[in-house]
Amino acid sequence: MQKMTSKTIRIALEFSDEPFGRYPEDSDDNGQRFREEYLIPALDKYDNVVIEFDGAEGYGSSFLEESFGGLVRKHGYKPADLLRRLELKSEEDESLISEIIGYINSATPEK
Amino acid sequence: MKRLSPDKKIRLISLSRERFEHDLARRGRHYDPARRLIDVRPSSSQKNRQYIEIEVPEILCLDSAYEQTALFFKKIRDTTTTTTVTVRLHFEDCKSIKPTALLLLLSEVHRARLSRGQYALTGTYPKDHALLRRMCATGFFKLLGIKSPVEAPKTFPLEYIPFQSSNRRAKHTTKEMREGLLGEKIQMQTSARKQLQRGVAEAMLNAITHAYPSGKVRPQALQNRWWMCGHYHLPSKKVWIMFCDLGVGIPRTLPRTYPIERIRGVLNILPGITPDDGEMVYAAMQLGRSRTEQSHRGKGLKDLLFFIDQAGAGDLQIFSNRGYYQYHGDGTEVRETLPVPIGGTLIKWSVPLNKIVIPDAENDIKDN
Repeated sequence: MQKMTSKTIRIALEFSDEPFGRYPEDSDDNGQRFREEYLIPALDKYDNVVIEFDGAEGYGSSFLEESFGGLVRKHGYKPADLLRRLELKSEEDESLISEIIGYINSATPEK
Repeated sequence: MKRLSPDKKIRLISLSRERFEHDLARRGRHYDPARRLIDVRPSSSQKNRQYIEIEVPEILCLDSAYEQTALFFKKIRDTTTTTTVTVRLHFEDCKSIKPTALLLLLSEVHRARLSRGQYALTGTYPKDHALLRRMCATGFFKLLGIKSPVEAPKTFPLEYIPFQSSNRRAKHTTKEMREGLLGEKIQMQTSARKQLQRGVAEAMLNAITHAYPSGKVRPQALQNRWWMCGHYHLPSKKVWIMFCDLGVGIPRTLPRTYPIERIRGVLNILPGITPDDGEMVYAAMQLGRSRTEQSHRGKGLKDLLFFIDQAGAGDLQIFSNRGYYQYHGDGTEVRETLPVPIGGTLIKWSVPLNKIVIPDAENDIKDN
């Protein structure tokens, strides 16, 4: 039986302690960059990806939707597949998890 | 060494003074021996400078004197954008400027100076000492290039802290404001800290991406500009966080994100009827919160509410053009269309301090 591979991404330590905005023109710590430079490579290489949200100043809706909803809208990931492979951890703000699940489920692929 | 005679001593002192005064005169200054002061002799350009004098109303407050306050800001705006003459604001008889009005005043003054330089606008000191102290604490006179005549007290939480402004995203702004206002001993709860950051980040993102017409604002320093200030309201023991931009306002930017039919739908109004500003701001808040809304954009406005929801108390106020929206900690909402536009968007969070700080920190909160 093949062992499942896993990768952990600690956003505050590895990406930014203050994520902000959707696009590069909003800031360097934007959701598009996080998705393209961290999430996508991890999803391509590993079976499961653990995202740790603690330690950052806070997460705005724009950043979260672009990062995670964008996986469905821009890259065609299936919501069910993402929810199976992504493990979201947030002890400081547990409501983030349900919010992100909502963005993944409500996103529709762009034509 | 030979002693000087008294006459000779007097003669030498007189010569020395003559030389001193001659040197001062050469540099455009003169000495007043009666007051023993050196006065600056105004240059010809300053002597001939004309001013447009504007009296600051006795009270500037968006809650109790909205129309008077908004009209005053409109007067500053209209005057500084249509004339090259220096505008002088007379604060002598002003008795009260509430924190939200003070932030708007700061932003209008700052905009005038960024647009037309240091001679665009100047002012006089208020006679009311408490008002003077508050204006100094927010950095108002520093912005005008005038020396702050008094120092603000350093008892935390501070009543006022210097305002912040930028025309791009500024990292750690909320953290610096929070720490500047509360000091080291009074710590905000982690959850409150995160929700405040969320709200401010959304307001900032809105200012730099939606509020201003893209690339059309001159000078460049004004494009996407926002201003922010914090205040500890001692009588109610509440923390006020205020954020504003001088852009086109939510009523004008909302139709860019949502079709008008969708806006009418959430307001339950008939086709063909144009929502007024108060309805537009209210609609923006409803659409931002809707989980059934198809669009992936426009979700950020709900971020503004989380700081209030987390505390379970306090309120959020939004003034945008002529629209007014208020959200209370118990979930109730108020909307209104005001008689005069505010000239941008102003957001104010007001939360009881004891609802957002770590319980032990309450012992460090002193009454000023």
